[in-house]
Amino acid sequence: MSSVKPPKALLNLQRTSILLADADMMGQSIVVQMLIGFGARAVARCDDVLEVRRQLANQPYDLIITDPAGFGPDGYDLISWIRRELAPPNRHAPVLVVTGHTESSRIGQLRDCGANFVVSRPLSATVLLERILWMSREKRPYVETEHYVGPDRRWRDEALPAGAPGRRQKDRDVAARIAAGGDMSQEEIDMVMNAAASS
Amino acid sequence: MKITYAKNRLRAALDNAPPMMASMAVKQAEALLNEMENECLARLDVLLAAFPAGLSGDDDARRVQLREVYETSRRMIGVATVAGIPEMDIAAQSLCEVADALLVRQKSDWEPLRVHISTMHLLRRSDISEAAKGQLLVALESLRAKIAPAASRQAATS
Repeated sequence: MSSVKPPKALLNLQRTSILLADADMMGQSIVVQMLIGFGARAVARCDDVLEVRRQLANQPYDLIITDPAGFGPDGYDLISWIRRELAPPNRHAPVLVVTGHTESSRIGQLRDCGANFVVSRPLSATVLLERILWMSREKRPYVETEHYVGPDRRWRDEALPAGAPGRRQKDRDVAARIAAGGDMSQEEIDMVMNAAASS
Repeated sequence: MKITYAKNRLRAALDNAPPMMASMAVKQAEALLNEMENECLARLDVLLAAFPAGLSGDDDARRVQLREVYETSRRMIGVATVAGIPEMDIAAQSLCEVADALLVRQKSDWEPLRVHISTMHLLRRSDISEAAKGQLLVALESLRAKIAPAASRQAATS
């Protein structure tokens, strides 16, 4: 099914507790099958936002996977709620958004909700595995500002993880790990993002 | 600005599990997905049948129906590839972009939607050649570019 070569890495989700929040049962099943293939045993499935909130308030999770589009505006608010209202450890749990299409009116919400990664459907097993590996290696801190709460977006282009073959012609090699210039401040990022959103 | 360095619990959970080669994990996942092919085909048929035969009523009613077309099409994306018809995912993505563009412009033209839905029915047929599928997708892409020229192909972002 996948034309992408899997990374040369080790991964087993056997001891990973995962919450899968998706309003569409078939969408859920497809992701669950992949996770089981990756060794997962503890996958809590929710198709209702209130149930997701209840689960997150009562149980720690190592990974949250969600398709916010199926929940409407509540789906994006859910991720913001995780980042702003929920207590640790779930407040800082990696959130992977898996979605088929995002309405143009919701792209700003998706960008700013505080998810760690967004991947598009159709989703291959290799891409899902790669993203989980990337999130497991992430060292980004979580930032809280007036307009944004979530993983620090001031990240350098560290190119591909070692051993990853890359999927695009423009994927950069390890030489891109050498940063050029200083980091932007969160305020500078907000200015750039707001200017892009209003143009 | 407050900065928090939180423990990466996902990393810890992976470190505590017996190691498995990523290639094996992908192979197992793909085998499980293959077992879902018929289930996904059945689901596709249900979704295809859910599309309306046209938009009717006043502007508000047409917009509600247009949104239902968008939602039905969005639910197809990802299911079609597992069902063995990846071209249908491309068509569904295109229909989402067209419906989204019409919703933003508060228009409810049926014709571009009809073309997409008819194409999806053709793609579902088992007797259609790969070449014909390719031509149908080229035609859809041309239509999408006219209705939603600014739409970035979201599928390309993963």
